[in-house]
Amino acid sequence: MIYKNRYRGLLISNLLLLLLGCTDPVANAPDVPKPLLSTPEYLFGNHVASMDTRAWTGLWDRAQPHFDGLTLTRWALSTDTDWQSLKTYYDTQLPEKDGWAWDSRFSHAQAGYAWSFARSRHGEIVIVVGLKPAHQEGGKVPVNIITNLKPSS
Amino acid sequence: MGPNAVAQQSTSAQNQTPTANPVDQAVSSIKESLSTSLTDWAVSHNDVRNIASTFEGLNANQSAAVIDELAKDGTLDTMSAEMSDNFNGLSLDEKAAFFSDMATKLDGQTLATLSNSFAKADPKSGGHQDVEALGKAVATHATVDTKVDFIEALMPKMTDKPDFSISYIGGSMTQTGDAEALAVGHVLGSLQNNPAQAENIFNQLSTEQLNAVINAGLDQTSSFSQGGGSVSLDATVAGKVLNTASQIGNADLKATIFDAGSAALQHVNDDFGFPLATIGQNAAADTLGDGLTRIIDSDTTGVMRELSYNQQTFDGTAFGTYAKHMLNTDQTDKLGEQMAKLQFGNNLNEDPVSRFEQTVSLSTGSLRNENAGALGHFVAGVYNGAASISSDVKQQQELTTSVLKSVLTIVDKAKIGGPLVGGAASVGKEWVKYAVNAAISDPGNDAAKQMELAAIPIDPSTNEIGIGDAAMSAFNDRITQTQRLANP
Repeated sequence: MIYKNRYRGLLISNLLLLLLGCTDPVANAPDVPKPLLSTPEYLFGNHVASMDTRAWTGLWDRAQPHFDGLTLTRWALSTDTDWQSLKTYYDTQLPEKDGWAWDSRFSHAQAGYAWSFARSRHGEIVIVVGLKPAHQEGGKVPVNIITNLKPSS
Repeated sequence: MGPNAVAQQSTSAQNQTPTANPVDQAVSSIKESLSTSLTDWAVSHNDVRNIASTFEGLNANQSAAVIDELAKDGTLDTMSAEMSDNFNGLSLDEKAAFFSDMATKLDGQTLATLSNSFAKADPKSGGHQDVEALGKAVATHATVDTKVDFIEALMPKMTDKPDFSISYIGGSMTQTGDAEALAVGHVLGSLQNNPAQAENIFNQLSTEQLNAVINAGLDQTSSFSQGGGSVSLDATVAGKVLNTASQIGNADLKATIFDAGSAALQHVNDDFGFPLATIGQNAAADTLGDGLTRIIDSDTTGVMRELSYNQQTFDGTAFGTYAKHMLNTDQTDKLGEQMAKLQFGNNLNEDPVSRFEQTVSLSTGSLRNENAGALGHFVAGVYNGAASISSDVKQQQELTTSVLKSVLTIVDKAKIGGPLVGGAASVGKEWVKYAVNAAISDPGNDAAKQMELAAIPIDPSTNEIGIGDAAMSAFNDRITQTQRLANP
């Protein structure tokens, strides 16, 4: 019995070590990609704001049952910048080798006015959602980042 | 320096010629007081009192020159350390008198030099007690210009030591709050009748510095011993800072300060956890709540507009935290008054339908119904506050009903639709009253629906909403966002 307990203890400690070895290599969210602009105040008028809200709340409501501790930050993107470059950036920052994958549940591929993409792994997620350039105001469109990763330092 | 040396020094001073430079004399006298030797091995209490007396005999320029001179070779730090010494240093009263003397004479930069010197005297706490005492003296005795210069000079040091702990036999104590941030809080609190200077200072503070001032102004002390632990709070200084903020003219800046105050309120209302006893928690929350109310009352429509559209506060946590406190402390009448102002304008004399529909033109040329947005932010904040108090639908409903009844009272009392205002406002007033009454009287409306419906004027003759699609969209947008993101 004593040996059994010792064995069990060894097994648990080995499992703990294994878990520690597999801990999250990305403790914080990646830095916000450079093309995203921070503004002290929301930039957009009623029409764009309404589409923006519809775009992110749809994804938020879909994500919330599956991911704890979601937060949202708002940004602006110049229409000179292709939003696909943001996708490339997150692909690099949240790589497949660390367990990250594209999460197609949070894609706006079918929506006419918005785009989005998401990277997720066990309980962690980053969703980026924005409006298409056709809906710009002053050469910019709204972009939102929904995530439950810790803010980048 | 012993008593003989003091007597010798006194004789020597009498023999000096009247033309001798008083600054040089004072510097020399202070250095003599601080000197030690084999026969005079300690700086005594009399020595540090002599130093304070030496300063008393100097005018403002001479005092500043002496501080500058002493700072050059590090003697100022020695002086501060000796004055702060627990055994031979100045008593608290003596030190307060010395700081008062300095605050009336020195310019802001020199006072900051003195403060920094006292901060070094107790590296563990950052000179917490003395730096605060000097800040208090500046707040009470210095001129407004000196206060502004003093704060500006202390700004780089406001966030470097957010707390410190002291261990003693059988326990420990942790004081939260940076010493310089607390000193700045005292001085900012004293600028209540100088809104232009206060605004200038608030404008210069980063978010981190502003939070440091408010947090230090909570005077949070946590004590732990074998018998248990306690947390004591006193938000007097933070409250004064918020009061000063309520007097400045810039609504955007007020909203930023509101955000910092609201975060402090959320912290104060936190459960500090069993078995910690809390002392002063409710009083501190009330002080902060009153300060936040003053900020909103000073320009309800302006501050709410900024809270709705600023990136820092759009999620509704700041206002929701405040609304929760107001609901928890039975201040629904004040929330009702604020809602009425959002509908009828700060002077309660505008047409609520026109106000709801009013647009502003952004630099991009697009339009935004900001009054509608601010009202949406408000009603969602009140609902979120109610929901965070209780999950019981009926209790939530009671809280929001109480707010809405206050709206009716305010609207009835206000001179809306008087002869100077004209018919539209009078009609709008009836539409608002109809909407509020309808929202309250329908038992099927939960608290969220009640707040939302009560805010939208209804034409009693047709029972139709009296607001166009664009304004409704702006209103609903704020509600949709806040209900998802706020965490009061």
